[in-house]
Amino acid sequence: MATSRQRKVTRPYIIFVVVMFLLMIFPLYGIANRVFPLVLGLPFGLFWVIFLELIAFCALCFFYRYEYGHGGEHE
Amino acid sequence: MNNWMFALGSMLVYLALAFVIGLMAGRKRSFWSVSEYAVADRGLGLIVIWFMMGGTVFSAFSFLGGPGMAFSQGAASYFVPAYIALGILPWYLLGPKVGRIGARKNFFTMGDFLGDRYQSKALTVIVGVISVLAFIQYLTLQIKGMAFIFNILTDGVIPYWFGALLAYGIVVAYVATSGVRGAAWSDVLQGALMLIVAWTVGYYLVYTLQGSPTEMFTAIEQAKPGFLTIGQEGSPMSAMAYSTVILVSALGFLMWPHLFTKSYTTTEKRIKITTMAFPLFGIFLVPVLFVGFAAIGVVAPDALESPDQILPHLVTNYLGANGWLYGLIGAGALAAAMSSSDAITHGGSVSLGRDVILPFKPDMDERTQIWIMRVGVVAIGAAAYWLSIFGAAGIIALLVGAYGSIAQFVPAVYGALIWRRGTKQGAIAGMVVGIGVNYYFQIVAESTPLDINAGIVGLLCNIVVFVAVSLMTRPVPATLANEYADA
Repeated sequence: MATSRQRKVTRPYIIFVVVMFLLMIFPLYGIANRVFPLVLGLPFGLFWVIFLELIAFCALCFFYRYEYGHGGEHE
Repeated sequence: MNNWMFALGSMLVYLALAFVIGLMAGRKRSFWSVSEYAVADRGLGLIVIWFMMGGTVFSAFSFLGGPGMAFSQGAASYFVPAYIALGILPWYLLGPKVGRIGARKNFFTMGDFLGDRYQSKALTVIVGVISVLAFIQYLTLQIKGMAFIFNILTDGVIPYWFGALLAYGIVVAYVATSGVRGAAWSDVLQGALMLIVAWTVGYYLVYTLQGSPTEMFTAIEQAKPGFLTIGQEGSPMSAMAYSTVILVSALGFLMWPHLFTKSYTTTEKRIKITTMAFPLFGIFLVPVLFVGFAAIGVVAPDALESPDQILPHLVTNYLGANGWLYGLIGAGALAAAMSSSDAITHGGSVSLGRDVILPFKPDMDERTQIWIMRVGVVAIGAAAYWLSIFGAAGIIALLVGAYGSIAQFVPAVYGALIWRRGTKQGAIAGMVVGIGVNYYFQIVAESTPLDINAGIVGLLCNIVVFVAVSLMTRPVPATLANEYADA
């Protein structure tokens, strides 16, 4: 059975996943679908993908910390 | 000493190491336990799991297909880091659910999971058969990669068939003896090696051939306007094709049956930490694409038989005298191909034993099961080896083709976890229709409506049939449906 914190996370997490998907595909990816400006030597379209991956990583850390970061082990 | 000797030497050293680690991993463990073979008695450590999952992502595709795609199709190759990051995200919620149910009911495979939820042995067998076929297809691609690397880096001294036999034979040996533990531990070595190689070689090539990443991309944009964007004039791919290939690959990502098997090997908390690492894997892949971009303007597209050969071509024609680099690349590329092969071979053997053969003879004892799985490793290995030496198809077409069928499990799996009304007739009918449609558009039809990916067309038909047929048939007992939906 899921803990209460896990239940609370479910809805925001689903929203997060849907937003990530939408930002990676058209039409929203259209914002980033360009070569210039080059960022860190990368074309903007590729940088966008990398940037979103970093965001995803940070968001996952955040969710994880919310669920498990407060002392108690929930295994 | 010639370059190819360096290459051969370091590849052999690497192979020996992988072999020893793989075999050692299974030492002092019960040789006769299905649970140990399939899920390491559900007790693998975090780092090991992390490398095993990452190793599966970094396949032959990383060293051959990825650079080839960047070289020949430009921005279309961005879909690879994109889907790897997205694909794993839903697992953060689904993985713990699947793991909980699996541990409680003592499951080993995805077939166990679906068969129990929908109360259908037929479904278990269908999932098992499709998984095994997709695994073989995927393995074929890895084996071709290994053989190719061996052959080209040794100047043809090691023939195609022998390179494949040597590298893949080692994988088969340690998977058959040590099970999941062998696969996992050798992946730690392979993972570390290929990461180092990918980054060194990617940046080295860019700086040697093009000056710097900035100069490189500016030059590409000038020479081929539109090549680094999607859906514009001069672009290699339409916006619809790009979006749908990301969707189908990301959705299909979770449906690889060995992911289910792995989730039974670990705890909930670890499943979540593993998920966290995946967006980083996507970032690690970027230098791999650099290899392909670095070749633009340097190598003429018609100098290659297929774009997949770009990395070996660059190495043999433009890196000149550096024998150590040869060896490093050879070992790294082998590592990438082998670390995917071991996990997939293992997954295939478990699916074959549990999902395809066990349902026909449910009273089989554990010793027989374990033998079937071990023989399965060799059988699957032999089939994939045969196909890769005698069959022919482009690396990426193969990968996407396998994904296409696997993604058709999506409605049944998600349905099991969130929709209480799904029935076995619905799940089976949906899957059959989805796979049929996918194959029709991939193999028979010339193009798809609106340039939508064939897998997505199949998936849409699949969902409609799944829901419609489920609503017309008798639901499974409420307690069972609730157990899955509330897990």
